[in-house]
Amino acid sequence: MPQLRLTDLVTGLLSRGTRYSELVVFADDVAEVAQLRIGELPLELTPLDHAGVHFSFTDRGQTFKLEVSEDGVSRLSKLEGQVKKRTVLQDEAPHGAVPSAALRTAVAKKGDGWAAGLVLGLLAGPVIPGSVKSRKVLTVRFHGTDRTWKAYDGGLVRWMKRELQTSS
Amino acid sequence: MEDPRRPPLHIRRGLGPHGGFADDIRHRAPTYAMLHPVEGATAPRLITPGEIEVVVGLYRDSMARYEEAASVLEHRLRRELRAAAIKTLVLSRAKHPDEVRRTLVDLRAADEPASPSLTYVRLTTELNRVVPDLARARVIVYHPVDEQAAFELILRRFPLADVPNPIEHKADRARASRALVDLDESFDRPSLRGSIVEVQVASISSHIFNELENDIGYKPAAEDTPREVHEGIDDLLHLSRLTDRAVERLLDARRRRLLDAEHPLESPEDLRHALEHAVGHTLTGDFMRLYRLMDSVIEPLTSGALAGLGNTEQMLVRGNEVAGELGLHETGGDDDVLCYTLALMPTFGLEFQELAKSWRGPSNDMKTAILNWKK
Repeated sequence: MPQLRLTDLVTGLLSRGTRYSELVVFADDVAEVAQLRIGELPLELTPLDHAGVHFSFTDRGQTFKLEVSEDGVSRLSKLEGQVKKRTVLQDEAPHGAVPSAALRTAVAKKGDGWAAGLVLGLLAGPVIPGSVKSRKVLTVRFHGTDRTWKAYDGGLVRWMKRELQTSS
Repeated sequence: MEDPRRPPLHIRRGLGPHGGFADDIRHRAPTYAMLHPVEGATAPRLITPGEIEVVVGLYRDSMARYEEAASVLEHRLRRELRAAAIKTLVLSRAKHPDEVRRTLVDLRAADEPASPSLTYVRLTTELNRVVPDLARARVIVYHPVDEQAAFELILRRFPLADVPNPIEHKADRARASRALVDLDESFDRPSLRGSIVEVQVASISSHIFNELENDIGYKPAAEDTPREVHEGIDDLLHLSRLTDRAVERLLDARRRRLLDAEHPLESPEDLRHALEHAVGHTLTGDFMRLYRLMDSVIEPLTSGALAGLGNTEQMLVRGNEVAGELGLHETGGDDDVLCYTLALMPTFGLEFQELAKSWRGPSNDMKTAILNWKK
């Protein structure tokens, strides 16, 4: 059962000011991605491409980009500049293929016995100057009771960093 | 009515004043000396074989206390070594009564008959000080280089017993470092307070040699030891040294990979080796916690990322200054890891504070320093 709404992703991304530019989560945790899978386009989402990979939406007066990846992750980032919206045609096939693959991959990555209610995310920031490709990140966990994201340094850090690839 | 001459109940039962094991053998049930005062006991003389047997019997009765003391230290050692990212195998046990007998017989043989240092009274009141290895812990590391790091940690983190030669390094045939640790109040085990535990640190191969030589080869009085036994022990010694060299090559090859700027540091040990390589000497502190912190805020965590954060040596100096400002020099909480962490605070301070807040368990210098840090 997906626990995250788009607004929770926005909360997570903005929770540390401007220190991080991207929030990456497992695709099966996001309710809107589950809707896309069954062919429904959530009202707040605007497709940015034909493939059903990139979407935009507005929350708290800011525009964000949601990327759904077949790798099983969803990435949220701020969308700067003019948004190139495309018209959704009446008879256009639903954007379900990529979200569907994303959900399957996410569930496979987590495997059997995944702790119910455990929602993990990775906030990604700038590259560390002088390093080859290392970035500032923060591993976080979503708390459904107060709908906040808290720093996480538990036993799944290495695993989640590997699975939630930070480079798009 | 209770006979006032009778020993108190806890002594009659062989227990300490709080009901636990007696703090020392003298608190146990009436001893042989109490029951059978030796005529002319004031005249100096060597301890007799019969008295050794009584002492061994008393030791056997209180062996559980030494097992417990060794076990308590074993757990603390395991925790500290793990935090310091030093891979070890830790074992503990109490000395077997037969070994105690053998030690006492050897001590008696070496004693001076005119002014013996080994007396029955002394053995019944402070056996653990005469034979300080009644409780033993063994720390087995991969390689002699780790032996030094593990031993330094023990000297820094554990109180030494107030006995002659509490530290010893063997480097002739048997190769090991030994420290006699005092289970003082910091262990929070009143019933074991004052116990001495011998901690011996050796590499895997040296440990095998030390044990076999001690059990099979080491018979100083036996002149009839077969030549084959001597040869076998010598073979073992050479193999032990060869194994040490092979392990060194293996570890070096493993550690060289860590210097690749893009190779991820996958464990606290990797982080320790990368930082130690950067400064050219061993470092102290809780690498387990540092790794958890850094792994949560850097992706990928590599030697290249460490280099990007700054010159490690300079960061340690800077962190040391901050530790001084926070008063950590006085508490002894200014180890290398803490200094390095403090040097990282301008970059990761907010993240580290958020992570440190979620740490469970009693507070420690690192948590306090992180939470008290201000921009």
